[in-house]
Amino acid sequence: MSLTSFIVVEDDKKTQETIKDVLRRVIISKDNTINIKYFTKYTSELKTIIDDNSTRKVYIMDIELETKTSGIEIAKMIREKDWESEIIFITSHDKMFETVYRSVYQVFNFIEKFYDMEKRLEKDIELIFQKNFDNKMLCISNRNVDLQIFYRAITHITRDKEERKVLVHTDTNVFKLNMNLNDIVNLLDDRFIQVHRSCIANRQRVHEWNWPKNYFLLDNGGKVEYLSKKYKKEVERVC
Amino acid sequence: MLNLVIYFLLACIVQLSVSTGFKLITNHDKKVHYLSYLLIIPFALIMTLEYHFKLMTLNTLTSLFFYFVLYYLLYRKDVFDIIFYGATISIIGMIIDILVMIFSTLIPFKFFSFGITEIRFIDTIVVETILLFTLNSNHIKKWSAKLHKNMKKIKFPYLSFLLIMIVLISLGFTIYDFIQKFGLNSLSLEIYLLFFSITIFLIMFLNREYNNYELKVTNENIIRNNEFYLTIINDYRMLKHNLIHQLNGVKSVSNEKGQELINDLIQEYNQNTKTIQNMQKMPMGISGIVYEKIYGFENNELSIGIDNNINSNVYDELTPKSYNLLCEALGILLDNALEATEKTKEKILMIDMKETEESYHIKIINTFQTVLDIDALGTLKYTTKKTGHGIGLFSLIGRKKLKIKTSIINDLFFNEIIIEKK
Repeated sequence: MSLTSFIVVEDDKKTQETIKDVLRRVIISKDNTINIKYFTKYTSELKTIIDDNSTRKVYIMDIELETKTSGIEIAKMIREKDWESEIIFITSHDKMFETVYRSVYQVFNFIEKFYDMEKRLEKDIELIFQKNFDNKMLCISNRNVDLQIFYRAITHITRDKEERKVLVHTDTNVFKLNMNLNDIVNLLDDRFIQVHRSCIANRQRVHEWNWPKNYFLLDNGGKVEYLSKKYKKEVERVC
Repeated sequence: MLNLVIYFLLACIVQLSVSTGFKLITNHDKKVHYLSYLLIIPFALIMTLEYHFKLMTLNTLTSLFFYFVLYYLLYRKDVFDIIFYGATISIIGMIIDILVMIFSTLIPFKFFSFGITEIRFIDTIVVETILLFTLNSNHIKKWSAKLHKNMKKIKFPYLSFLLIMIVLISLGFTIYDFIQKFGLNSLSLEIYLLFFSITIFLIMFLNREYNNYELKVTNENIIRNNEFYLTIINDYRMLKHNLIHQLNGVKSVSNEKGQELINDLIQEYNQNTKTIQNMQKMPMGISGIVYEKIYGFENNELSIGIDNNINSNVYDELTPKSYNLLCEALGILLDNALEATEKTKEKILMIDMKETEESYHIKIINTFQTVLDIDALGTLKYTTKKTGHGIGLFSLIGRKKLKIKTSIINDLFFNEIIIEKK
């Protein structure tokens, strides 16, 4: 994915003007090639933009649009295919289900219209730029299930010798896959580095390398005892 | 001999004509390899042999059968399309045949010194030409497409019952024809066999109808229970609302300790407000099942989201069997989802429902924390539960009219139930 565009879906003119001001201030000062599109409702042009996966997008949307298709519905359509773009909701909505939507549709933030909206929106856009769209995913499909995991969520990958499977470790889960380490390397980017015959680590998630004792510590406090001196040179070169 | 050769040729022409007619009426646009049409030759040979041995009833049946086989082998449509368009072509062909025959009585063929073979040849060519023009007309195509759409709504068991009865009765005529031609002594055995097969079929049909009736009664009970749950929820909300107001009233005249106690009580009563408010958003026919499952798991830490875009009555739009299947699938998947959330730090359950003209889509999304074998998921006996058997999800795979789409996105498990409407 290349380039970045900002898509604003807001039917209230006053709020849209406020968003425009924030975007002018924050984005145009950084990069004036960034494309910004404004919509008041879901249209065929917006659908084309959603379907186009060639650019990374930041959607700033009102939840309660005065049309049949709400902001939540648009978010669902985005997430049918695209997990790399960011979604920010502007809302006056009751916050009851915020936790659920935030997790399920990977919503970057919910910003209340009538509570410090400008400052919060500005802060969120800065954060998105800092994060640099790190939403790349490991995608694997088989007959029964489609698996998609953010690279940033993978801490390390090991090989189970007994079952002859690869184990993908995330902060919360372990996924067993019928593959070998060489196969999975081809599906990853350069943040992943081999640190042992049976282990690939996400170097962005490693907190400490302990070469004498052959282990490394993760940023979530986990300890992985798969570290071989054979790979020390290469690890030190890239880290 | 010449008679047989002409019959063979006519059989080939008729088969070629009806198969082209099928292509026209169904607007089939995929190319068919010309060698495939060679299938016509063995079929025409069999029909000629039947003609030679004067087995005319059998001849009519086999020619019809060959037409249907030919449609299937050439165009690979589904069985319903083959039967519907095949029957349509046969009926239109028959009407044209009768009209041409009536018209031909007006022509004094004897003046042209035509024999019966020549007349049959001319008749066939004329009938088949008119048939092809008729099948290619836009009126007939539109009319048949409309009828096809309406016929698809007829329940399959009744259509199959009708078709099998027609086949059995035709078989009876064929046996009668055989007996007349050959005077076989096996008359009684044939009739017994036919009688036996009709009886077996009727028993099976009635048994199926009875089972359907039973299923309908069960489903009506589920619906009644659903309504009952909703009534209880409303009563409960009302009671709680009044109770909290009364407690607030008491609070205003209480001392500090009393106020603290009342605050605790109010908090306790408000624990499952989210779930109860969510239930109001569920479509009729589903809310009870979901509420029953969630109520058992009532947990303050569980965040439940329900997004309902279903406006029709699920029970009315599904066959009793499909409704039952939906209840089963919802039950299994909700059990799995709720059990999975128990182990997670962030406990989230989302039910997202929508409908299209053809089907309902119910997505159950939950957080989970486990070791998951991706390739074994959904297979028999695979389970992540310590006490579970894994049969649940497996039992739903491969069911007719129901699809389960599973995906995992980060730490969220997505199961989508897709169930076809009537």
